[in-house]
Amino acid sequence: MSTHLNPMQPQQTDSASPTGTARIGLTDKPQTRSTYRADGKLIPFLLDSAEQSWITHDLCKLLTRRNHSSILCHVDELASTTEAQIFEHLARQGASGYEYRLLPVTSPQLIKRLRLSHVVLLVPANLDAICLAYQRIKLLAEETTPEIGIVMVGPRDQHAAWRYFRKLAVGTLRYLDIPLLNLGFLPNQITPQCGPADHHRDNFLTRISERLLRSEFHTGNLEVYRKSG
Amino acid sequence: MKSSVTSSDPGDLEELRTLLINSAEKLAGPGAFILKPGLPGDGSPILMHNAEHQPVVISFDPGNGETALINGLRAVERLTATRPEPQPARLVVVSQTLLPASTTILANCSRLQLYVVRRQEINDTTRLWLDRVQTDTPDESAAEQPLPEDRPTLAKSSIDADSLPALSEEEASYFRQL
Repeated sequence: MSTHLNPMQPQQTDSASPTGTARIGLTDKPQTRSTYRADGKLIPFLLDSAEQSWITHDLCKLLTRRNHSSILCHVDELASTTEAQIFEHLARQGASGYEYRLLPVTSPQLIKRLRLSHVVLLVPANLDAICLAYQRIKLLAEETTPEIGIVMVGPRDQHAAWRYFRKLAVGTLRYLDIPLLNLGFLPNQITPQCGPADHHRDNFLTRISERLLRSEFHTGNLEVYRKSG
Repeated sequence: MKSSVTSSDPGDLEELRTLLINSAEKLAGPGAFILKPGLPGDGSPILMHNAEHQPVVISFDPGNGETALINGLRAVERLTATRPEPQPARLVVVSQTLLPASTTILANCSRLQLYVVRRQEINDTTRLWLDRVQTDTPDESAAEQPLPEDRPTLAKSSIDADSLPALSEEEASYFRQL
């Protein structure tokens, strides 16, 4: 079961709409709804490095296998384009009837620009990476704070995963007042070389996907708003 | 129950990229994973690693197979220059149109695979059909190889730490030890 370290309610973010439909705002108000409208839930992942993309790839396949049709949407290449072009790209893919769209991103600045309401951070289990993840969360929280879920990658065991998660979560709570959601871990025995049929790998990824679904850790139906004029 | 099946063009470059990324194992074999969804250069080919951790470059262009081939060859060349690997990258070219003289090209390039792509909408769900262009010669790359014993660890972060907010003394002290 997914756990918030902080028993308090998650912070209210600007991106949550009154209807429960997540909203991505581009710039300051006033905004008008654009012609882009895409059904499907968006799960953004902030990767520590591009080498972690196998994790989102496998999660996408696993969700599809479990009758939640999913697709990977890559926008890193569009980082130099305008937000509108990125949203148009996302909206176009969302129109293809997929239930979930997984969005692996390596740039925290891009996540910040898109002002997404939920972000999953894939964090390697070492002190340097924990510190880097903290800095990235600090960056994301400079404007609107998204709900942040953590997947620890590469700890020795569950105990080590918890210790690293706790270090990060206590730090973000103490200094940034941001609670983190523990979405699970992938132990160091799980690598891309394990192969997709590896039961061990499958089990850990299944647990992460279940936590994502159970905690409804996604942006909801994507509505894209654009500045008027 | 009524079902509807319609064929359509593979769409634009970015949509095709996403569909190909989701077909990684079909193109690079079981256990393949994406290393870079877009390499620098024309067409931004996709870089994958197969289960044996060997690089596979996927170059694609919906309407022009020749462009896809040239872009792919350039990407492989750049990759070889910047990241010397024990073996050169395998090149997979995907296009809606068949390359001219494709069987001759394939017969002369053992590390090249060609696919013709078609897209179908089945009950509002997009499916990608990839038909491999075959030659008479056996495909060595399809032979199963054992997984390596050594398991490489994930690479260190490539994030530019300079662009992240600095830590206060108290924060830095907190993160100094576990």
